[in-house]
Amino acid sequence: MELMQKHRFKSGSPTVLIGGAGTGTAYGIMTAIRRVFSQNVRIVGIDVNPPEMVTASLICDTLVQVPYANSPEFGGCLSGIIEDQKIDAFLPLLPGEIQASLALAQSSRGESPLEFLTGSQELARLSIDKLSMAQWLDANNLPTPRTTNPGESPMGEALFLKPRAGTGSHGARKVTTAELERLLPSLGPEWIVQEICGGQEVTVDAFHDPSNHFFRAVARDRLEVKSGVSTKCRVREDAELEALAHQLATKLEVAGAFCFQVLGGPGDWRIIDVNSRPGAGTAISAACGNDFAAALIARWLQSDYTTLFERLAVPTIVTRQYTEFRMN
Amino acid sequence: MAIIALDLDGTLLTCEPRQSTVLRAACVRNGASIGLAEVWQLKRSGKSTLDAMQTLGMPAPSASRISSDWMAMIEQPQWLALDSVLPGVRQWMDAVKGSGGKLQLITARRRPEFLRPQLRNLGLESLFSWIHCVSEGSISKAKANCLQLTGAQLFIGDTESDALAARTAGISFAAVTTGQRSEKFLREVVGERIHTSLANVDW
Repeated sequence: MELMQKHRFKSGSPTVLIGGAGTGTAYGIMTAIRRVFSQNVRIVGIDVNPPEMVTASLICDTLVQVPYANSPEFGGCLSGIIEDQKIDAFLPLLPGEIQASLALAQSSRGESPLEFLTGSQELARLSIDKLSMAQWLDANNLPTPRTTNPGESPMGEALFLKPRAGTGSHGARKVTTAELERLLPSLGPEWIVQEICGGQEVTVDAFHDPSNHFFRAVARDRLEVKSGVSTKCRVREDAELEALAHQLATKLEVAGAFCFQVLGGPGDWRIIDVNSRPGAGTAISAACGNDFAAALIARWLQSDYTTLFERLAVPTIVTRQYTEFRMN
Repeated sequence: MAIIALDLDGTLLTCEPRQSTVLRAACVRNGASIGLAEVWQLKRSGKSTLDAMQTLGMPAPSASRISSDWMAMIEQPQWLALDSVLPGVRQWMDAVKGSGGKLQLITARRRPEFLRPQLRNLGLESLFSWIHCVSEGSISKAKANCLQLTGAQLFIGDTESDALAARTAGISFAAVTTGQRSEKFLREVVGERIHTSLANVDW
């Protein structure tokens, strides 16, 4: 794919910093970049592990080992990497990285030469705080399960207890009201409870470019999920979920790629989680001709992203298999 | 009715992203580095991966180790995910099929077991009436045998080896410059019907 305006970039080549490089999400995004832009985009990854322990170090230009994103040293370390590596754009994946990117954006008061690839600042902020997200969805008439602090009004016999800032269902579990009563004294403000909803779980991968009035979304039925990540999916067109995704993108002023999960069924979907970035399963949509991660980068580079999407004539089942990489 | 045989890598699919990225990975795990753009340029002018690295000054033992590693990795399914269908290819194939033509795929892969899954992923499998994968050895001779066997009238590919296969089979050849060899190289070595992409090939 042709790259335009090379002079825009600090090192002469577009350089993107990708957080959480050890995650499947980062690996999928880096693969998408190499597939579409080959070596024309410089990729710098950050991870808490050394390069030989991170598969993505095989395909990125540089992998920098960093402290944990929730540690006090992380912000300074991140600023140093952005400066040293002449980073043009940052795609944070982990909550601590998103938090740090918000702090960077705030400190530069919108004059940062760094582009944040998180859809929108508001989406980024809400994506790392499930309670605020639920309140925002509710206030904007977007369907979401009732979500409160654990001590607030009861929601029936059983409910979901989850970390307010969690990702990928980590730490989430079903509890009974009686169990919650017992746990209550030990639960701080970092926990929330959510009404239990039935139905199927679907992820929606979406891309929005408001300046060109372009929008695309596909639904991924999560047929099998391991550790919060889909391993078997049915990827399909869904006009209702597409419309929901469009509302979300419009109201949050999203420009770029994002994904969210819903529970329920036709006519009764509820949004249970929203991410300000492509997800670990987004590569599954790419396997069906809809490359949301590459489109995110293409939009940033002002390249044509329309060729990275195609309508799905029929629902397509995609399975995943783990693979091994020798690192030395 | 036209029967057209097509090569895969570099003709229908991109090949540079996978070749360069796998070379990067092979270098990383062998603790080396090399100019990937320079290697690709040398390969486009006819050199092998090994020769290109040595031309760029990499010592022979390192180049040999990295080249072996590259060969071992290049067709593993995790790297095949770096391929994509070249612009205009699907439309061209649809046009041939739409006018009653038949498309055959003749490709050289050392790991034939991953070929059909990849074609399916890329939405190409159903467009072929015949798919054949030749293994190592004399690739041009094996491809020529296939061309004769299937009665193809035209073979389209991106290398001098494809051109030789067509010549041996006694059928027409058209070269495309979207793959392994540059236009300059193909003009010097093949010297006939050279196109900037499959979309520009008249059939």
